[in-house]
Amino acid sequence: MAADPGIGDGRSGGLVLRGVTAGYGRSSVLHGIDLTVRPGQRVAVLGPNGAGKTTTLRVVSGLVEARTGEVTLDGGSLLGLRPDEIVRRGVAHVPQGRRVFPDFTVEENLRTAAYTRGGRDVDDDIAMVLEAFPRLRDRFGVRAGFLSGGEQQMLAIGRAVVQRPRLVLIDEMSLGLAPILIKELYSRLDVLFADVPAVIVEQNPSIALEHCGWVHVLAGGQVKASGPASEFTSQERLMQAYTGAVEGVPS
Amino acid sequence: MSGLLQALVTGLMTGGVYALLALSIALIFKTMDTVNFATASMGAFCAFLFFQVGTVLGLGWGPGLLVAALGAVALGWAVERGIVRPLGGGDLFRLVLATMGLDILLNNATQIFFGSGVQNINAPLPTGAWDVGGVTIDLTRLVILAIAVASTAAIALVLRYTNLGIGMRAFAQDPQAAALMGVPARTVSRWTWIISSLLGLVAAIMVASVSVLSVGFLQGTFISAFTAAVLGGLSSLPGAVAGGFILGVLEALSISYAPRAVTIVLPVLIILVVLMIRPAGLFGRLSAQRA
Repeated sequence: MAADPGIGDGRSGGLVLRGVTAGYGRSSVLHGIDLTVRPGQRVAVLGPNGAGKTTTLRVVSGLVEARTGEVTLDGGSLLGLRPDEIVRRGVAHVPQGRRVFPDFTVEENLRTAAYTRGGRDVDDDIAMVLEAFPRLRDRFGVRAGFLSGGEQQMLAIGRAVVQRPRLVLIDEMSLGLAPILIKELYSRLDVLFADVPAVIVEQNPSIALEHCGWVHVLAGGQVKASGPASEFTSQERLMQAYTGAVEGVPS
Repeated sequence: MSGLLQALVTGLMTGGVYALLALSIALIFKTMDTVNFATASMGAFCAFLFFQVGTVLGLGWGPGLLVAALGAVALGWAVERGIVRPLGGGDLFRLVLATMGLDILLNNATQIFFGSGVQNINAPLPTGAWDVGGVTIDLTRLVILAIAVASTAAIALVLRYTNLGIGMRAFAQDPQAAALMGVPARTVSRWTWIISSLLGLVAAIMVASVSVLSVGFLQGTFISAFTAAVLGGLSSLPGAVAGGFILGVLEALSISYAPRAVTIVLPVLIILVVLMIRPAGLFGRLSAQRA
């Protein structure tokens, strides 16, 4: 397994997954995931289709129950908690497919994200979102179902901003979006979540490598390789990790 | 002309009750994806509580209303906790059958606790009638319409402006996304059943105050309200309310102008026609995006 500082100390800050297995019904998807996100670190989780990237995020946010293993955030276990309780612990999950509320306006979507603090004290956060995504300002009173895919993704990220997370999980942000838009979204992440540790799941490795410091490559429900992003910038190196030819990174 | 106007006025006043009960049904359908076939017996049971405390025990309508409201809250809570939550998740028919069973259970419980007699609840509502240009406006029914409109408005305000209401609306659109915003599914489910139960109580007292209180007395109104909800669109709360008023007027018109047989089968006829022509109802939409 990869030489990943932080593993082996359950009391360390940030997110720690150890030996996590999970699945749906009779099929199992994750076969012992070990993964650490230290405070302030932005981690890309890459890998082929069906590797278990999305399921890993869903285990962290409580949408899928882990069968075995440990999941801790800043030392506190997240296992057995319901998704809404995990949100209260400070985890914001921007799910695959955006999942904005189609009948709510942009404003209502953003306000819903402040549910855990009674919907109060939200104006500054909304202002921050609108500053980062001026297009949402023009669409403020429009129902989210009528937004373009890119605008919906901005809104989904905006909701996570309003949640004021201690950890943010972002799943397939670039799916179906134009390259220029993807670039814009990633550059906004750098600003909006400058100090927030993040796990970013991507099918599109090159953009993720640009904006993340550390990389985990998943395949077949296990972490096949981990290391600083700089070590994965060559296509060849990445392909090796994808196909599982290399188990870990020489360091 | 005044006959038509009279039918319209009478229809709107009957429609208020349908609208309220239809709202109770649609609220459950929209958030919980099921139809509560115990809506009538839950409301009726609590109306009996109102009668028992207020009239039989002679404590007056204030305490009667209080006990009935507490009963409605407790019943809504108990149904959610005892039936919906253990059975919930995925299977619509399990819950539908369970509420049908609950309906039988509650009707029998009502008979055991309160007897099978026919009671007059003597609600403290004004009586008499106004004559406005040849159209008779029954005062009791006018007040009932006002209560129905006020209750509907109160629900609308709760759903629109309270944190709980926003959470309920978010949950109705996408339960999983709502959970990721920190909205607890249990809280939404619990309050949906409690609010629906309270609406049922209000509708039951209103119906009892213009007819009589007896076991199963609300079943006919439930069928009309269910029809109204289907007509307006089960997934649309404003649609269900509008459906209630439309059905009230259609019923009044058919009483005045159509053979009696038509009036009797009107709800079934409407359900049939709506499901054939516009299954989502007048104001509803077939959901396309829920995964």
